Amino acid sequence: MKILKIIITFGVLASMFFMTGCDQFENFSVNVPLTITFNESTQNSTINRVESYDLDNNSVYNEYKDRIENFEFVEARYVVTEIDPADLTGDIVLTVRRDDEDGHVLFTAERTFDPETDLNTSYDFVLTAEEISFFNSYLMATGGSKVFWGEADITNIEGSSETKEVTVKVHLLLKAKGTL
Amino acid sequence: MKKRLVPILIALISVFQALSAGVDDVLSFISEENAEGYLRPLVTSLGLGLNSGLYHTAAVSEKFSFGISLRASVMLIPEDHKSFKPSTPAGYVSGTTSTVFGGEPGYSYGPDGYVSYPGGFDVAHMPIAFPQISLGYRGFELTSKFIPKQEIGEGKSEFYFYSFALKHEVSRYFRFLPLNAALQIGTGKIKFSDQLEFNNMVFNAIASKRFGIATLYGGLGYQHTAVDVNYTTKGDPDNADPLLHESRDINLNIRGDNGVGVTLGTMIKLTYFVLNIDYTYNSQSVLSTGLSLEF
Repeated sequence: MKILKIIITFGVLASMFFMTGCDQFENFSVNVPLTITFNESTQNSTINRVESYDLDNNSVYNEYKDRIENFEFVEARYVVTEIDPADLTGDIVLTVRRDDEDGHVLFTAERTFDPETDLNTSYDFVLTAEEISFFNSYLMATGGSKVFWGEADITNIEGSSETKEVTVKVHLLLKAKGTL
Repeated sequence: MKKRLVPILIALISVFQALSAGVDDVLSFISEENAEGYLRPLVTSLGLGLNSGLYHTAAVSEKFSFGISLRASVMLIPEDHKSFKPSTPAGYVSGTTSTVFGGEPGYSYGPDGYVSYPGGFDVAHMPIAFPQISLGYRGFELTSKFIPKQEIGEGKSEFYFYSFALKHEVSRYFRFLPLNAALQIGTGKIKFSDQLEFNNMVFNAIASKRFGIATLYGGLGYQHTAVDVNYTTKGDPDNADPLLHESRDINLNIRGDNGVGVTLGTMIKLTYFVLNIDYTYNSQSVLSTGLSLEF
């Protein structure tokens, strides 16, 4: 009888080991980074450029998209990487929108660009808790596309040459969790 | 016994299947420079697991002996095996990110945007279980555990493992010794998936002392475990890490951290039944227990 008790106890302990192991290795967590690039040249004093980014073109998202259970915003930054001429200045407004009929704004940022301090310097998009929640609900919405529309609106452009060119990048980092 | 073994084997393969599927997916998005840091704790764990439960006494019968046992071990993953400092492209500052056993995926920001590393599977302890048989004669004992070839996962990856260890009781030459002593050498392999193949060696010096139905035992062991890693990266021209721009075949050999370890344990023998439990101090601690039928 004692031996039987030992066997049962051992079996229960071993089963606990197995069950814990199976559960743990089923959960994954990955970052999904993406970049929206705006490049435009003009002879005027304004630039308005709209670019889209479809998450279906993201290799990490594509690998995991059918198994994602939780998808959330982590952070976003923007940076002006190229200007011509070197003394170009202007007022930049960057906006990222949802892909819906009303083009709801997910987040936005403004900056008066100074080439001395701002070229190749990244700045955070600062989102409120409400904006993050709104963003996450878009990520988690079932069906439809997962497309972001980015808009770069640059006004009061001044510089020492007639043609002015600027490249702005918006970097987003999302995080997906799910079960394999 | 057979009825008990079948569900245990199925459970064991399920553990490996889940692990194999997860790791295979992750490797597609990790450069060779970071695969080593990410996988090393897993190499250590599987090496320790394969080497666990190889003995529960130094004594070996002079007559023919046979034993069959069911063994379960759990490797306790320390905090410093859950993160590592990844290699980063020029212009990026490296922080820390998860190993295969860690949690949240790490990232760093630099000139080309976010460089991201895979997350771990949030593992605090790694279980392993296996059937084991032993044959003894004239102071020698051969111990073996194995699972025959299986096809696991959607990709029908080949999976099997085996381990052999030969123990010799040396105290039979030194009758004056107050305890039993033995030396053991072992080798093994885990064909984990088409991408990962683990090879393992172990040397143990074992001592034990019997007190009635109980025996105290201990050992000093040296282990060497390495994995051959072969995988293909996805290739993404938009990835901020230049090493991941193109799809490439990666071939690596990664060595585990399991070197020298110390084991202490006790066993109780009741007629043909043997129950043992031991603790191994190594780079990851191992708790191991087993139930054997020995004749």
